Amino acid sequence: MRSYLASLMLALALCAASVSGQSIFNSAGVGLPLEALDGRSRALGSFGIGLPGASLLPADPGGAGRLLLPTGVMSAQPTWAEYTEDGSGEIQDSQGGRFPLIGMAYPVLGGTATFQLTSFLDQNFAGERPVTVDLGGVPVEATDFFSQDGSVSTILVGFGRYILPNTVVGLNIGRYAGTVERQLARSFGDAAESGDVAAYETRGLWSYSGEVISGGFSTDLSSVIRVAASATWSTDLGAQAREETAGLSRSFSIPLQLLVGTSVRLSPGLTVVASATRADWSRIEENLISGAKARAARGFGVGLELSQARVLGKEAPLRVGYRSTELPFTLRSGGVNERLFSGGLALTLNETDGVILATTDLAVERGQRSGGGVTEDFWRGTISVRLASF
Amino acid sequence: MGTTIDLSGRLMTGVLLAVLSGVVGCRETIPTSLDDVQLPDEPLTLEIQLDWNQFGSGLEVFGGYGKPRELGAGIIAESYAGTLSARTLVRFAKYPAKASVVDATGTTREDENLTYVGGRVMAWFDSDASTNTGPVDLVLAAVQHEWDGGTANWSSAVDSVGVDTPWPEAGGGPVSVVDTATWDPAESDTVSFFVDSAQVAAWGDSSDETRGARIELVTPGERLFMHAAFLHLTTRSSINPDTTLILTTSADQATFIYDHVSQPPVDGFRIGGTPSWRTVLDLNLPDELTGPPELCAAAGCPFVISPKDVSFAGLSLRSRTTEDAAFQPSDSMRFDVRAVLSRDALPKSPLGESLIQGPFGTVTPSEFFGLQDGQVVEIPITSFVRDLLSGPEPTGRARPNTLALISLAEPSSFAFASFHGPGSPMEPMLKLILTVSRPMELP
Repeated sequence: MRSYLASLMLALALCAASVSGQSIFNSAGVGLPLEALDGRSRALGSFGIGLPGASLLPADPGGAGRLLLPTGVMSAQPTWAEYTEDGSGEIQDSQGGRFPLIGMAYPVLGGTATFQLTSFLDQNFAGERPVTVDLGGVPVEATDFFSQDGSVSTILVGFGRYILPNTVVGLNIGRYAGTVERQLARSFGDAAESGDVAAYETRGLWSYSGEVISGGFSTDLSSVIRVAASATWSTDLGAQAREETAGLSRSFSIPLQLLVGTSVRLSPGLTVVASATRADWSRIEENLISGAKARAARGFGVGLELSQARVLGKEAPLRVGYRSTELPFTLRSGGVNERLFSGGLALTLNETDGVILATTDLAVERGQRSGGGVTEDFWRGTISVRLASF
Repeated sequence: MGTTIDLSGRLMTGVLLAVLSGVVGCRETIPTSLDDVQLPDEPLTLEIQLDWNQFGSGLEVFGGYGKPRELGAGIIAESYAGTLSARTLVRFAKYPAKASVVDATGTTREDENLTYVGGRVMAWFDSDASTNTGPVDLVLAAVQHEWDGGTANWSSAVDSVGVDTPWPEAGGGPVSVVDTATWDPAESDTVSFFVDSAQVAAWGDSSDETRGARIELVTPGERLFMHAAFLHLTTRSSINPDTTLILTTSADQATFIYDHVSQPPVDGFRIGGTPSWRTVLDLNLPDELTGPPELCAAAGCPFVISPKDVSFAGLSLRSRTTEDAAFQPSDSMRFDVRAVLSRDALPKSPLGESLIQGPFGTVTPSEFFGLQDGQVVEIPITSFVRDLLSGPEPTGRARPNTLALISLAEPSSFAFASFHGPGSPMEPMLKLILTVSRPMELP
């Protein structure tokens, strides 16, 4: 058991070291929003709010107040994507891993204090552009190589507690963190083989900053119905140019993000969940010099959990879900939508005296993003581990 | 006593490990944009040319690098261009002391009692690098005076530190003629001289410091390039006297001496020759550029050149008909360029590594220094210019800004190359190919 958990942690840590882009839509606007969710939320098609039981998710600040034991959660997320220009037979692919959530919770002062590292925007992508340049009177085939390597994360501390026997509230405050490096290189192809022609390279490096605050509640309206809501507000996302960067420091308007969720226990062992989100990104257009368009992004998700299912003789809740989301940035023109089906299960790794101390939640999503003449089909896996009093 | 669930089943663990291996072992492939809409604006690559007064100064020509024997070849000339006479001196190596001989019984044995009864000197010429197209007459003679292959010149048989022993007759004399021969490049690239047994015996005395062969040209107005000379010895075996062997010995020392030493040019560049000439110059790049308009449009003006902007830098020289016709190249020339590491120590300053990629240098046809005066020869110095623009070295020491234009090896040719200098209508230029763009910005 312990060796299994050790290898799991090692695997997650290794995956965290190798992050790469997960979608071609990373190249739109300031990137592709990433939700910091665990395997359970992913499997249920949820935005991570209003789920049964206790949870440690940034989308549900109140949910942390239900945690009774010191808890840690870690999530890893590999993605395999194929994308194509509509009408074109050429298919390209990308693969990458993310580490969207690391969280810790500790009961204190009659509630639960939390610390979370979460993903917010994924910005990795690359591009090539063949060009013909005049090299001393000789036309030469050259290639421009561009790469953008970066992401925005949030570092959050929070506190949640019961204010009523059936209601918890929570508050998270934190900062944006992360960097982005943009690099453009021109290679002169065969002309450079002599070694006398040097490649051109220019780059810029920016550090992200900004403050973020979110608050929410979660209440059980009855023994079978739970509702929750949260709102996340932040200052502008600042991008500070590093000393060696000639480009300007910038700031980007980040919208208020609203989330609501509910879960209804239809019968013992069968629960339906639903959640929705909205964030109006349109104001950020004023900050984008690339001319990219932004819009209000909405999404909803529904799911079903069979909590008494058993796999191989062990208790292993099964989950399925569906989710539809509007992405905030256009790739060329027209909105981009994401739709996906999901499924997964939970494995109890350690249960003592009826208390679950260690679980692994696995989720697999099959989805499609389309818009701007580009369609991307993807598989996304999520594996998360939650440990309590370990 | 509580109940504990612990997943240690092999199957479940195997499933989880399989999932984990997918997570950890996944190949990373970054998504690649389908078009260039999301890419930054295209950089501009353009060429600019700087006049000499915008980048160059301190032009100097130095000579005396290397010695004739280091050329590894012989030069033979008679009144070439009306001024040049050159003769090649060869001292053959010790003769073979033994040889394998088949005796009367058919057994191969080592014969250490050989008798040299005659020989032939074979001279191997380079018809491309030689000026003659028709037959020329040559003389092989035996040197009669002590001489030193490392220091001998036209007037001195020995010219080392503290010792200057003149030839009794300038030009390696006196000599005794051994044989004459005619070389016709249309028929062969070698010429053979007969050597009698007495001369073979004389050249076989390794204690004799006078021993040596002098090859000279009788036909006036030509300059020959000789790769090498060998002495083929006609040898009689003591084991089987009916057998005649041909054993070969090569040159132990070889050099050439010539009359008419060229003087440094009053202007312009000179590279090559034996001993070799070097041309040095200082590069002082402008702090900023204010044109051309397309540069200003792409990157703004005044434009401060940074190392990364320089895609190519080359000295653009114009060839000049060699001012001293006796030293006009008759074969292609190969140039090198290196940083002068200590300007103050010239002409003995150490040089940096070659700035030209590859082992062959900048190859230039010999015609450029004859009838085709004014041809552009570009010598790449990209890495030097990029280093110069990058400011002082990490140690704080200023980077060298002086270049030395040299032949690929010193010496590598008897002839030297000339280029027009500052003040000429065909003065040197600095060609820069810049790639520039606006600063990288966020979207």
